[in-house]
Amino acid sequence: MQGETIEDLMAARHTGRFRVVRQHKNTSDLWRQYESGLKQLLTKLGSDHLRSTELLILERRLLENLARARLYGDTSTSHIERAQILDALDRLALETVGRKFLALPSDSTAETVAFTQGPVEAVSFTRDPATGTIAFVHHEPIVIGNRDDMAQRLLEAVHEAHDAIELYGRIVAIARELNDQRAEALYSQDLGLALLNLAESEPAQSQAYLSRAAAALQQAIRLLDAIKAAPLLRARTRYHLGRCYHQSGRWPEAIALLEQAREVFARHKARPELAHALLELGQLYYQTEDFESAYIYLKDALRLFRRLGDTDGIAVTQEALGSMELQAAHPSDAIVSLREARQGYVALQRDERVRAVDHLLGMADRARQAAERMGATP
Amino acid sequence: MSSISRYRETLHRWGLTDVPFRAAPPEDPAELSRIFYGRQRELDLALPTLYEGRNVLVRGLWGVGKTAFILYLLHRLQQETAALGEQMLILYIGRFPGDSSEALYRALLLPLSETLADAEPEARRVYDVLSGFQVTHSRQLQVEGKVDLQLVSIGGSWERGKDEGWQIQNTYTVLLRLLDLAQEQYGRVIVAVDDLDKKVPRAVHNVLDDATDLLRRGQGKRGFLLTGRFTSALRATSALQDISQQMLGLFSETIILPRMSGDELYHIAVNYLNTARERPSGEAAPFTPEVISQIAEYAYRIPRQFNLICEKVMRRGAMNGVKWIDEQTFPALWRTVQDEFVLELTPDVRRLLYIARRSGGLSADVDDATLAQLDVETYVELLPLLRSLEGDLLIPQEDGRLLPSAFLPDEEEHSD
Repeated sequence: MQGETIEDLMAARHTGRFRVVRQHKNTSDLWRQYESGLKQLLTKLGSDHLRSTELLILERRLLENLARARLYGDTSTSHIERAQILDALDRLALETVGRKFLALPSDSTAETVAFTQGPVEAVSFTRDPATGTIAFVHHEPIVIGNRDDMAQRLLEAVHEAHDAIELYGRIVAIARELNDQRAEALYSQDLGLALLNLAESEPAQSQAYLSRAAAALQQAIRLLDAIKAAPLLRARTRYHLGRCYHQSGRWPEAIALLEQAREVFARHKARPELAHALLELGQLYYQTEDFESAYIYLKDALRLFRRLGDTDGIAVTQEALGSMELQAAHPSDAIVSLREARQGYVALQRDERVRAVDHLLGMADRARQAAERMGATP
Repeated sequence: MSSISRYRETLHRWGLTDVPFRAAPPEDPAELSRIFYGRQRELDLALPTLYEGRNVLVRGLWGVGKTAFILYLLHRLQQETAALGEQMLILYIGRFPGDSSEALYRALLLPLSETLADAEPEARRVYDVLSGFQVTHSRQLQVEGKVDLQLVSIGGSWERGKDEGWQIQNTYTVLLRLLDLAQEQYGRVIVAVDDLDKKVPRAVHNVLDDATDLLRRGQGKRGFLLTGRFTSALRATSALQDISQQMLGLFSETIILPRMSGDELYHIAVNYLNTARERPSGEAAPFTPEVISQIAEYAYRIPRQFNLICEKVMRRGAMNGVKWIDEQTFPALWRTVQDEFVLELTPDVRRLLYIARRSGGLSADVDDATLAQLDVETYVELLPLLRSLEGDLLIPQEDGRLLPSAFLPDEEEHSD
C-alpha cells in the first residue's frame, strides 16, 4: 500500500480493503520527537560548544511551549511560537551538526507496526493529540500510505496552514461519507482552528477565513451536540467559535459562547482552558466597555495563569490589565502590571510584544510624573 | 401585660406613634421632604442642569440614598419650576421589568402615553396596547401648578401578553413621537429612571449603549436622570465607565453621592422620629447621640443600613420596655437583633459572610486561600451569589470590596 492517499482510502471504502498501521504511542507523538531531538542535539553539541547557550534557550522555550500546549491545547499563539522555535533549531542543527533538527533520528526504538485487514465500515475517525490528523480504527491509527512519508506530510501540514486546511477538509469529507459524526466534528474543529490561525497570519484575507472557520466550528458544535459528546469537548469547540466570533467582531455572540464554555471549564476544574476563556472574555468585555466585568475576568485569568506557571498567559493578561489601569489614570498600578508583562515577553523572546509594552510603560511613566507634579496620587 | 401593650406603652412614653424608620425612602415626595437632609452641593449641581433639559447621572454605593436624592430632586424641580410659572412634565420610573432597551422604551411609554391619552389619539392607542400586557404599574401623579410629576413603578413581564397580540411596532419611533408631543404640550420633559443601578451592570451597559440616541436627542428640552452604582470591582473601572459615557456626550453632570457624615445621619434620625411625634424635637430620643453615632459607624455611614439598624433596635427596645436606648441598654438590644439576623441565614450564606469578614472583604483581588475556602476556582463563579447578597447582606465599598452587614455577629459567638 506504499504511496496510498486519502483518495485511495476513499476508494478502499468501496473495495473493502485498507491498511492499518498500529504504532507505538511514543512514536505517534511528534512533540516527543521534538523532545528526543533536543536531547540528541544537546549531547552532540556538548556544554562547551560556542552555541550551547543558544541551544539551551531554545530548549527551554520549546519545552515550555510544549508543556503549555499539552496542558490546555494548542493555541494559535503557541503554534506560531513553536514554528519559530523549530525553525531556529533547524538552522542551529544544520549549522552545527550538519542535519536539520527535524531530520535528527528518533531515539525511540519501541516502534511496533502491525498490518491488519478489515471492513472499512468499522473505521472510526478520531483525533490524534500529537499530530491531530491521523485517522483511527477502533482507536488504532490508520496511516494512509507510507508511514514515514505520511508523518513527514503531516508535520509539514501542521507547519503550513494552507496544506493543513486542505488535509482537514479532505478528512472531513471522508468522515462525512463514512457517516462518522464524531470524526467529522473533530476534524471540522481542526479545520476551523487551522482557518482561525490563517486569519491571524493573513490579515488581508482574514474575514474570508474567519467566515469559513465559523462555518466549520458551527458544524462541529452541531455534530458534537447531536452525538452528546463529552461536555468538555463541546465546551472547547464553543470556546474556539467564541474566539472566531471575537475576531469577526460578533461580540455578543462571542460572549455568549465563551460564557457557556467558561461555566463548563469551571465545573470540570479544567484550569488551563478556564484561564484562556477568562482572558478572552476579559478582553471582550474591555472592548465592549464593560470595564467592571473586564477587570474581574482578567484578574481571575491572571490568578489561574500564575497557578499554572504560564508565562505567556501572565504576560498577555498583565498587558491587558496594565492598559486598562493606564486608561483609568492609575499609572502606578499600570506600571506594576506592565513590568510583569514585559518580563514574561522577554523570557519568551516575543520582541514585538516587548516593544509594545515598552511603549505603554513610557506612557505610564510620563502619566505618573505628571500626576506627581500636580500633587495627585498617581 | 401583652407584648403589644408593652410595645405601645413604651412608644407612648417615648412620645412616638410608631417606629418611623424604614430601609427604603417614602415614594411620596411630600413625605420624603420631611425626612430628607443634606446633599445640598449635589442638589445645587443637579437642579439647574435638569432644568436646562440636560442629562444627569447619579452614582453612588448601594444604599447611599440615590432614590431618596432623585425623588427629592424631582420634588424640588417641580416646585421651583412651578414657582416660575413654567410648564414641565416629569416622569419617574421606579422599577421596570426586563434588561433590554426595548423594555426601557416600553417602561417610558406607559406613563407617557397615559399622560397624553386624553389629548392625543396615538397616545391613547399606545396606552391601550401597553395596558394589555400583563404588567402591573402603580402610579402617583402630583400636579404643582403647571408641572406634572408622574411616579411609576412597573412589575410583571413584558413577555406576557405578547401571545395575545399586544404588540407595538417600532417602539422606539413611537416613543420619540410621543416625547415630541409631550414636549409640544409641556415645553420640557424630564425623565428619571431609577432602577438601572439595580440591574446587572452588563445589561445596563447594553441598555445605555442602545439608548444613546434617545439620551442625546432633545438636549435642552428633554433631560434624563439616570442612576448608576459604583462598580463592585474597582474604583478605576467606574472612572473608565464615566469617561466612556462622558466621551459619548451622554451626561452633562455625573453626581457621585458620598456616604453621609455622622452629623447628617443624626439629622435624618431626628427627621424620621419627628414624623412619628406629635411635637417636633431637635433630639433623637429615645436614642442618645452616642448610640446614634455608634450605629452610624456600624452602618458604614450608609443611610439604608443606618435606618435598618435604627428600626430593628428601636422595635426591640420598645418590646423590652427600655427607658432610653443608651450606652447601657444598646449592647443587649443590638446583640438580640444580631441573633435574630443570623438565625435567618442559610448555613452557606452564613459561611460566606464570615469568610468575607475574615478576609477583610471579598473582591476581584481576593486571594487563592479565600477562594479555596469558598470551594471555587475563580471569583467569577461567585458573582451570581454575591449579586444576590449584595445589598443588605454584603455591603459594597468604594474600593470594590464587599463587606458583610454589621448585623452579622462576631464569629466566635456563633460558630456552628
